[in-house]
Amino acid sequence: MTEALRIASLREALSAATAIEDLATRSLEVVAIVDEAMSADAGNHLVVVGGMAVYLWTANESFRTVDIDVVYPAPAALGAALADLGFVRSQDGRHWELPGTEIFIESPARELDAGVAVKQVQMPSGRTADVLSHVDVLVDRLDEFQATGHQIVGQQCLVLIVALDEAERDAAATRATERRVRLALDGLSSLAKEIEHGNRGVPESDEWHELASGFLRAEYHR
Amino acid sequence: MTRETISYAALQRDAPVRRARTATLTAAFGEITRDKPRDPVEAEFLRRIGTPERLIGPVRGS
Repeated sequence: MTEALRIASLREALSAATAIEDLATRSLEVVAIVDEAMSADAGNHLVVVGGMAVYLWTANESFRTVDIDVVYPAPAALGAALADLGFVRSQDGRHWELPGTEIFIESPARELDAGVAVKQVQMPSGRTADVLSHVDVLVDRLDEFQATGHQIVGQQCLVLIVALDEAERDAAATRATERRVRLALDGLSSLAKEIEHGNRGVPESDEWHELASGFLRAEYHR
Repeated sequence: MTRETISYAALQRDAPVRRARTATLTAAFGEITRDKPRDPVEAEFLRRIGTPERLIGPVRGS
């Protein structure tokens, strides 16, 4: 197949994917198609991170998002593939939109932390889409929460924590220790239990900030 | 980096379990409001597709 035919076929697949009603399925099929478009860039794969990964691992509509954040080590190759597929780059050069759709891609970083786990998801189309693992999405969010104290990030940490299964819980403890967010993990795990058992309410905005700065101070002064 | 293969069907099968685990907390949160600053380009796109302002949140630099 010539390169022009290959791209035309992928554009057709992309058009079909954008019509998929389910947000999670649609987003991962789009990522899988973009990934396939870059098959010449051997060995590298897009990895879904950020809010979309939170949504995928919690299946929680409260954290529904249409932004697809991806990490890819070669931004120029990613940009060329997205342009070939019909995406339009924003003026800031970091965002890509597929006109007439709700598909919006951002590549906020080039590299993942060396110790991360990635899940390669086999999609119904037969293509694959890589997603940062539940544990590493949680650890990233804990790191962000500890640094910023944002309420929305704290809430995402809580739902990611309670959505873990037993094996993931052990892995999260190990990874959180490596990334120096173990106190945040333990503290927010306790907070989640207290809220679930009705022993306390959800923190107000100021309280989230106090919690985060407390975790940060304790983590780096022990 | 480790890479493990899972099927989308398995992910979908697990979704109700994960959703159920988070239901009590989500109910306690009430309506979600974003306090984390949003990139202006992203905010403009989200407004265009009809996203409520509470989910767009504050816009960086404005």
